[in-house]
Amino acid sequence: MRLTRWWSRKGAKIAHAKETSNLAFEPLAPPALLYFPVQQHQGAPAVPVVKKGDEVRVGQLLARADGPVSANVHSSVSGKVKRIEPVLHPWGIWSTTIVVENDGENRMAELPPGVKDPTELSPEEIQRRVEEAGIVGMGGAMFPAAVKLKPKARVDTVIVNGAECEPVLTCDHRTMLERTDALLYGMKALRHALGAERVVLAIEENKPDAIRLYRELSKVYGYFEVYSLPARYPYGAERVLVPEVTGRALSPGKYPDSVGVVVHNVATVAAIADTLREGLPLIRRPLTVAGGAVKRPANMVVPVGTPIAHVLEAVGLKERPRELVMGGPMMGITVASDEVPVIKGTSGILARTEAELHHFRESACLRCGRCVDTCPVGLMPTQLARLSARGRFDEADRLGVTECIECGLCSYRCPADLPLTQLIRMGKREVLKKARVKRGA
Amino acid sequence: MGATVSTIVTATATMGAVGAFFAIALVALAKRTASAEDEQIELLTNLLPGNNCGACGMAGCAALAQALAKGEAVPQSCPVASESQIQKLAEALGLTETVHRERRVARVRCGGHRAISQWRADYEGVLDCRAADLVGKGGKGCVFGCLGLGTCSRVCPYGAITMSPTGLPVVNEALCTGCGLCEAACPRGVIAVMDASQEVFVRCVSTAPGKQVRSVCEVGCIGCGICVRVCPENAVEMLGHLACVDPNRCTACGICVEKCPTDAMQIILEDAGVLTAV
Repeated sequence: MRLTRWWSRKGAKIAHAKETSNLAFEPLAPPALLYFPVQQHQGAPAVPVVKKGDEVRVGQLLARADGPVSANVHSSVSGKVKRIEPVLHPWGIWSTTIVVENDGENRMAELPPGVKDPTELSPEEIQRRVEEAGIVGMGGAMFPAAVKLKPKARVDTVIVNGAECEPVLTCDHRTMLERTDALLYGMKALRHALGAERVVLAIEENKPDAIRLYRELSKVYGYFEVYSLPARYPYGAERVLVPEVTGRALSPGKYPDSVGVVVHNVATVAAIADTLREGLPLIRRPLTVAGGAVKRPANMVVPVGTPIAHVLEAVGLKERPRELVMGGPMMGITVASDEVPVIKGTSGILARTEAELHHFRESACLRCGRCVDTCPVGLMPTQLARLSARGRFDEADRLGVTECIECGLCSYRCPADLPLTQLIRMGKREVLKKARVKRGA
Repeated sequence: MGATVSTIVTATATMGAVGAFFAIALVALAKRTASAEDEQIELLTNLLPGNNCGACGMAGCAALAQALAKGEAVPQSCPVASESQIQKLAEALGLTETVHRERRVARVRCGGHRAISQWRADYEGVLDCRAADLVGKGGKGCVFGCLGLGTCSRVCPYGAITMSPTGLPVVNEALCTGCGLCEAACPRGVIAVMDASQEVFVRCVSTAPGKQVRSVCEVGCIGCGICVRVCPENAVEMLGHLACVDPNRCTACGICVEKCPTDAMQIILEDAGVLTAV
């Protein structure tokens, strides 16, 4: 058993750099101005329901979901809507954003009553409340969580993703240690809402304290089990996680619900618990602030909508960062300004110095095959990158470029220092764009 | 010596005989298996422009000719062919309808070159606009404008696009065939293929409000609407914060170009090419 597991292991061992794992969450006070983009999820942007000058309270709905794949946006402070205009978004776009002036009084909106035990609610009611609360996947993908609560096929297994395979980030780890009751409640709620037989909390081996804690708890409560994942990157990625935990292979282009599995990040599960138990919508998110330019790395609970400049101010900067990253060092996105707000999917803020940057110095491909060996979804990165660079997107499509999960391991392992992931990402987008055009035509 | 000469003679004669045999055999076979369809495909291939640019979405002109012969494409599928070429193709296919086609060219709808536009960040990575656009929309302050990495100039099979020293593409309209490959490749939609006869267009694609445009670019359309008010033909309308010229109404009088406070409105002058500040 151990040998087969060793043999079938995916991805690669990379430096964990989880220095912040012992730092407890500290709450961050909201700044004077908060920015709530209507696009904080995958799918259609939400539609503002407030107007300039409106008084808003904590937890009040600011923008309503538009369509089946979308999510509500709520205010994390009380105050006044100062303006609604396009503002720079972490993705680099100018997204319609509701700017709220914080009055510092923290007046709460009327929230739906919480329930002590999630099994008191019907599955439909849980789904409705999660939808109302605007909860999205907080691991970074920002897929509306409510959509995953009405799966097309029967779901028998819920995987709660506590892998946190990204280096540096420790907010999921801290969530597991500090928000135990919320996680237990959330797992119970998910099990009940989906009628699942198994709830599996998957944690990477590099977090032995969390594994120990939840193994003990699972003996007491029994409605979930703990799965210890190899401490390799990217075991937290759905396409690697689902086969590892359930033994069911995911076909190309299919989501986990095709094999009866739903995956939720631990932070999402805790947010679902907050909603059902206290009526709180998703207005705060745990994140890790780190990077060489940061004086005091920390784990924080930040009100959604806080500009990252305010977060960086709270931890202090040693020097002007050369690069700002939202998310982890492997899959995080580079943001072009510190004015962009923390959104629901922001799992980390890294302020990196010149010394931490990697400048690609491309040389010729050695055909060593390291990228092929390391690709967790079994692609041929060197070939895909080559085809993308030459604009031969049709051929890249035939070789499965759309299956790429953009984990970045191929670039990380490449001895010729080729920007493989970026090229593949470009190819992937061109293929998807073409498919969209074709569908539209 | 004698042996060498006879070796050459024998070898030449043998190879000649083998070659002649196969040549005759192949020609005979080709004649026997020739079909009317093959001939038609060859005829159609010759009638197509023959650039093999692939803008029709097929592998080249021969592939399009095959599709034409099978009835899977129409003469207009070739975006490059001129009106007379399309007419000839239609005749060869026995189609009776007359086709009108204006000459079309690519035009660059962004004037924000490096000196007059703001940049938020330095972009480092694959030097392709399509890749840069995926990294927080590139480093340019304007998230709509040209990134200047020259993807359009590289995909152009006709060598019609060059990059100016200030980082904007310049289209040589004499070489441009309007195939549209650059338009499809540009991640920002900055390049548009339009009728060559359209003389006035807006050199900006930003849909952001004027204040934001101003903050990042000196020549972007700020949506002030002056062009709409001064146009005697009502040919300009506002799409949100962006002016848009209706080519069917525009008479190229040039009043809007003159009045535009940011020089976003452009006119093509026959003798001077595009009037730009580049």
